[in-house]
Amino acid sequence: MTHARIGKKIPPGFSLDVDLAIPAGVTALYGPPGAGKTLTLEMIAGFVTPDSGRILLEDAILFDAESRVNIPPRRRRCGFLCQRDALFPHMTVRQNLVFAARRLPRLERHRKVAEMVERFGLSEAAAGRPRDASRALKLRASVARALIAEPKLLLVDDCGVDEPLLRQIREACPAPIVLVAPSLDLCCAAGELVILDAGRVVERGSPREVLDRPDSVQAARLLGIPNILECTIAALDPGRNTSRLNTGAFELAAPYLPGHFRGDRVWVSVRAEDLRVHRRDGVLPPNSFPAELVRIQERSQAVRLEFSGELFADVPREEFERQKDNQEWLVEIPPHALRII
Amino acid sequence: MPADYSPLWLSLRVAGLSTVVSLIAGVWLGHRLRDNAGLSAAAALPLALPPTIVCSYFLFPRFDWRIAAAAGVVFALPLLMRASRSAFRHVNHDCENAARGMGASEWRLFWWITLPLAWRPIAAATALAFARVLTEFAATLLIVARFSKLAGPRP
Repeated sequence: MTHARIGKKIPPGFSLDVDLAIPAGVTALYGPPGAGKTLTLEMIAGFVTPDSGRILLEDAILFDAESRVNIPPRRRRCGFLCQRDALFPHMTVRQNLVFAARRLPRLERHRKVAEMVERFGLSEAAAGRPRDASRALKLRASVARALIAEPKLLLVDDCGVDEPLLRQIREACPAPIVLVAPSLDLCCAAGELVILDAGRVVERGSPREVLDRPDSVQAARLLGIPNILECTIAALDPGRNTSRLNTGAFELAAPYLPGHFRGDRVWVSVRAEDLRVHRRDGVLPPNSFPAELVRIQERSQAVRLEFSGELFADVPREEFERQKDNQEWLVEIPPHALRII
Repeated sequence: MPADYSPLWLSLRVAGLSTVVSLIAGVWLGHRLRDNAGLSAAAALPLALPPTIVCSYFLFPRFDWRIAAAAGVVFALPLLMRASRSAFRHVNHDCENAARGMGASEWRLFWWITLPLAWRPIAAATALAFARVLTEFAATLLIVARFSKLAGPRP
């Protein structure tokens, strides 16, 4: 079992209290800057000493505040890839790899270095200094160097690892990997997603589950879901499997909400890409209401429309081109897009 | 009159020995005290002492050039200690942590990573310290000259 339960106070005002079970495969940490992701990794690696808690790696105790066990970093066998490039600048790339392979016997060392050079495409850069290599090459060299030491746990800070490289790391490294993910797309490549905010675990679970059904308003905000509405349950109909929610400004039809009563206040989230927009002409489709367009933002994939009442809709560009001359707008929230938090 | 090179040779011996001793001690102290601002400031205090005062502590009845070198250490050590401390503090911590993560002992870390990354400022400070001791006239005058033939017969 690999498990970290760690607490640390950093004055003024920041405290970290994280309970992290690390299963085999990739665990992604996601959160805003200053959430304590890097600090968590540094404490597991042993570079920062926690105030309280216990760290287990394959059932071996690395740190225990109560019995004052604190294994030094060099005996923890945790590979660490930090945010900045940490290749030794006074050695060539190959010497960097050889340094990491010190504990292996001589022949095995050279075989392993050659294998990693081949695997990560470093053969051209191997004889040169890290400063002459490109950023991507330096990253691959850092990864190769960390993997040569055969870590029991690989800690990857936000150093620019992308999905193809992560796949390569997984092929080369049987150990569990903890990854600070800069984007939600990378989180989806992980087996487990942990959302951190202000030094606390907000939510954890499989990425699909967490992204589709965030447990709390905080988690939904951190995942970048812009439409979060507070509603009162106006009606519940288990027979027809429907319910009605009142947001104060408008009413919504939603699927039946088991475990709730009429009059309960609930939070509802809707993804921006699930919202639909129409031109207003006569008949109101169900679950739609007129809204005023406040702002238009260009996005990489779509156009984000901001409506009065803090509603955001991501509309594909062709769709927007078709509708951009609308005098009045209707916003439709499809019942299946409503997620009760 | 044949040139007498013995004073030059003496100065070089004194400066050389005190620089070597200060280099070893200064690098060690600088590494040990790199996170301790208070102690390192205290160790730099001899820099503020006037050379004559420092030398007056080394006025032993018997002359030995090694005593002059010891006085030189008092001048050179704070310089080298400050410079190496500052050099070690500027070494990329990520590099050191990466090496620790790969299982490098602190000894190996020091010789293979920390010192090679910090040697340039230390080398510059060593040259400065050597020059400082070599040109330290007060020490030579007070300690060495009393016993040397340059000073003439003692009263």
